[in-house]
Amino acid sequence: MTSAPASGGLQACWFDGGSSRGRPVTVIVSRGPSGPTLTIEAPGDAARRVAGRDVAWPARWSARGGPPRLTVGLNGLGILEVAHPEAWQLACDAAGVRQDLATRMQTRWPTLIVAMVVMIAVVAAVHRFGIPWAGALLTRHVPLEWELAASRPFLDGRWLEPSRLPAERAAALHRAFDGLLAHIGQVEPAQPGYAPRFEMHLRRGAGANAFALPGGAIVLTDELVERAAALGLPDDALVGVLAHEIGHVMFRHGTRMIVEQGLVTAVVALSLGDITSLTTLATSAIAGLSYRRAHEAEADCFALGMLARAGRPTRPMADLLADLAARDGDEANTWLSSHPPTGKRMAMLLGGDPSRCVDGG
Amino acid sequence: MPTSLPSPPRVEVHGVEFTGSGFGYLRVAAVNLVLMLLTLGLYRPWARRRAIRWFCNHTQIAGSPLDFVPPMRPMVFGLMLAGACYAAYHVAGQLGQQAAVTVMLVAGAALTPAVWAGALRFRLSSTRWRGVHGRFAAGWGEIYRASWPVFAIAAVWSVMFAALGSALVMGIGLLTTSGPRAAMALLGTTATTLAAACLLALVATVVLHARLDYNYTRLMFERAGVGDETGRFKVAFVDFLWTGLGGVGLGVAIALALSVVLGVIVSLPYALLVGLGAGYLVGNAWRHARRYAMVWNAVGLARLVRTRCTLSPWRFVGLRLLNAVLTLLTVGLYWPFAAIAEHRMKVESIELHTRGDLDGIVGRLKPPRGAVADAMADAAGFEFAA
Repeated sequence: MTSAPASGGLQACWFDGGSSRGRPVTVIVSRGPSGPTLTIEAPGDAARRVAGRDVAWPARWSARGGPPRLTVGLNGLGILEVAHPEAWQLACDAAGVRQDLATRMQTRWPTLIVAMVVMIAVVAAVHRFGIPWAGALLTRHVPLEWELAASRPFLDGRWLEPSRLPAERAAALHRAFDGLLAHIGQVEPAQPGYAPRFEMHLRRGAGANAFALPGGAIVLTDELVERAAALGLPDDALVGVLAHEIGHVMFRHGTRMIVEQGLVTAVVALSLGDITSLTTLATSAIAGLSYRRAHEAEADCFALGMLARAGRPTRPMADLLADLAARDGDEANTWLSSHPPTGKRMAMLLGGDPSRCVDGG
Repeated sequence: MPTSLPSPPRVEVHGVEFTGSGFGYLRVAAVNLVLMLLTLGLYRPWARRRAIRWFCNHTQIAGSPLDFVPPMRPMVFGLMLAGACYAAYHVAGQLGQQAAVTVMLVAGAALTPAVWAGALRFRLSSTRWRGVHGRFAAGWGEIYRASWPVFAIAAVWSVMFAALGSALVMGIGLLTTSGPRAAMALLGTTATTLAAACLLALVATVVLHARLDYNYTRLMFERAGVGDETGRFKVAFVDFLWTGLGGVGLGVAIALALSVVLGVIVSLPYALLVGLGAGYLVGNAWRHARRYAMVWNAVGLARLVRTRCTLSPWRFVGLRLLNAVLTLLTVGLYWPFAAIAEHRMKVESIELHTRGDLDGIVGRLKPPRGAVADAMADAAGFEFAA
């Protein structure tokens, strides 16, 4: 069989879809008034014309050639098997058959490289702006009651023991916390109308730590109180830590983290799911950590503003952070850490401008 | 007067040829990855179609290529449904809705056979050769009956864990009431029994897994067809069982031998790690190739086609070992070339023996069905082995 693109005809085999028996035919790809058209000429039969929109043009896998035979779908009329892919491609190009973006990327290096550059920009923009924006938007639709219900198991004594601080010490800390809350009304929370139920809980058994639960519960451990006392720091250090945790609650960081991690995992699993599940897990975990670091910086900024309004110094909190970081050993890799580097946090607390931190977006 | 008997139709032999290259596959995967990331994953159904179509277009059976022509709309709908299920599961899990999570897990497990069959139906009915579509025509009853080993494996391990749990509870009870001596005595009497039961459960799992593989493979070939012609499958379960046990035995033997030999040179944990890795690699590759050759030597299409397979399990093991080494040396970059080399060795080992010519396959144009199940199967991550 020979093909003769110069005279306009290509040898092909036509299968009508009803059986695997083929008929030799000649196919002409031509440029018609309404786009490319196929004409099929079979010996002893009238020529058939098939409009371009009824043709399932074969996928093009390389600029020249590709597999030795191509199949062309004819929408109800069966298929054509074409034996000369290069001649077919030339005829299609001459007749103006459009190639979709995937095909152009598949067959032309420059297109693939440009698409890769655009992809890197899109991924960076989605990571930096898209996911945090969508996370904040979706979080607005999560009711406060869901947050309170999700937080309850962390407070019921299964994981943490009751505090063993003397009653008067506990009462003093509660007074300090309540005093701090008086300075909250002056800032806009991340969401208008969001009214978390602030409560401070003293617990023991999680190391020197403090954390905020979605909905307003803030846990301060005995170990952290004792650590601050051992360092001879005034209560301003603990008040600073509490202000930081109040910031987490006001910006709904707990809920936003769940939503953002869900979005990241969905996108990564869809795009990279074919490679390995390990890649998927690692990528979404690293992306999730970067959002956590952003949340920590936002909460530090909030604490800075709150301490300024309450007329409290920031130095004790910075000293407490430095001590905790020195004891734990700062993580070597920033991008594997859940918190920003301690040096950066201290610089922000000691020299940051609270007026640039109050609205928090 | 002797009448002349009609001469039996001539037997013709047709090959299967795979014309794709590792580089071509890498390019398809790269384009898919870029487009999926650009569209935040929404391109996935199209990417899936492109990848399968690339394999089909580069596979020629008796000189004619396969084509993959699924309808896109149900594939996109299937992706959205799978995404919604994932989101519901994620949210329920994060918010501690244990009842909802359990219901979703049980429903997912119960639907798995239906998803498998739906995905296979979709895959075959979307695949076309010389204009004739494939099909898969198993009924729901058959599919669930073939799935019994799944439920048997679940039952075996439920009993096993219940027994282990009650032994643990009894031991702790004795420890608190009668002291450590009584608890040790109980441990002495039950440890052997429990270990034996565990071993028995493991053997039962291997046997049941082979049975499940056999049931599904048989269903796949007997209920699949091209056009009006129906597939046939002539393998006995014993052959599947021996292949499965042989693979496990080979893997264990290699792991032990290699660990002992290497144990002289390097420390024991490293020797064990390398031994287990190599044992798994070789045992699994051998079982895979042996099973492939066994199946493709025993299937066909009605009275028209018989397939023969010349795949040598040891040559395949050699190829997989070479691929593993090259993939390690190139930090994974060799994977498309490894995948294509294995695919080519497998596919090109098949030849078709036909009685008469292949032109007599009659098909009817039927729209492909089961795209939603295909998306679910994609999300669950299972592929069709044969």
